[in-house]
Amino acid sequence: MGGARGRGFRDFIKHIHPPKVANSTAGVLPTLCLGGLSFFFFLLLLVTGLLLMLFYQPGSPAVAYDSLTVIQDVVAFGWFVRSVHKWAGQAMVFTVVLHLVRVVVTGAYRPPREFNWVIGVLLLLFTVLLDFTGYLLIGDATARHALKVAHALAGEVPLAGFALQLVLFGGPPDADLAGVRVYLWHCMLLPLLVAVFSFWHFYRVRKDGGVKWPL
Amino acid sequence: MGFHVSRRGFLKGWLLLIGAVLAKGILDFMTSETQGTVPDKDIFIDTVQLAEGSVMLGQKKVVWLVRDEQGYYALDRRCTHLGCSVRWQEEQRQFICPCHNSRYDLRGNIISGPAPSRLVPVKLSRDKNGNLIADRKVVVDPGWRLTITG
Repeated sequence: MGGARGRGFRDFIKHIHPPKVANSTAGVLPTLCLGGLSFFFFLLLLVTGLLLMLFYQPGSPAVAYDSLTVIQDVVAFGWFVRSVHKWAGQAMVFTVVLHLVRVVVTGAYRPPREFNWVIGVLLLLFTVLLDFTGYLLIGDATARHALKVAHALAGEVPLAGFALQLVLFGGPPDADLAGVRVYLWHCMLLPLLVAVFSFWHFYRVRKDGGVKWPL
Repeated sequence: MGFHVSRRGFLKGWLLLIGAVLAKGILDFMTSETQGTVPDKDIFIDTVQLAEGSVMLGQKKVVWLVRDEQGYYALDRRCTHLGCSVRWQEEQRQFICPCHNSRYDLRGNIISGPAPSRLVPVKLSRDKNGNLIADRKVVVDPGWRLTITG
């Protein structure tokens, strides 16, 4: 790669890498790369998710399930893309939780990094919601019942319960619109939130002085 | 003669190979056909009732069956211009394409219109129940006929 574009790319790489890394944190051990792994899984989920969107049909559970059988059995490498998406999703929840444990154990949540802890907790919430909405999109019996439970839980929220049900599911849990809404949250809102908050999270790591050990 | 590959070159080569395999897989994925596709075969039932000089559309509606004095023959329904499905116009005794008005006679020869060539004659066979099966994958000579009996 040469010319202005190549230089721009190199500059970008130079800037996202910290200029200085403390010897004590240069290895794998202090962080175990759990945050980076989580983001790697997120990128993998974006790519495989976009591919799955080419064939997935949101709406009624029956139609959704049928489209999944087509992805599984008809689409070239569809089974593989869906498997990668599913397991990367499970793995992301796993690494995000381990990342939280690591931050607690090493005390990395303490000031001045307490604000990044808050962003991190929100990211955990978005990750779990992504996992859960993905599980609802399958459209099998489990997913249909889980959708009912989620709908009822949203209704338990004091005062705003009914409004929340309407916004999140568009009405009753067994109507087609509920499937469309869950699809919307899973493919649009939640990934966008994870992307924005992730970059905020990374920015705060650098702003708070990079990876420090011990703190 | 020494053959030297640098570490960077070696890695680049592997990366290129993996990238190519991945790209091929993704392309195959994206171009998978999952919606109902047009069948290659068509079936004709009760062909004995077809009078000489008359036509019949297959059950799948993709092939025209014609009976003349020598026997049966089948014509792919796709217009050779842009692939629209031709209709049989009994008053004029012509196959007419609804898209750009290409016209063909009973044998599939061009009468007029933008079509570059005649309707494609395809293979016809008889199954064990006496139904006629047309296969659009197998093109036959325009003079080819399936005998009435047999």
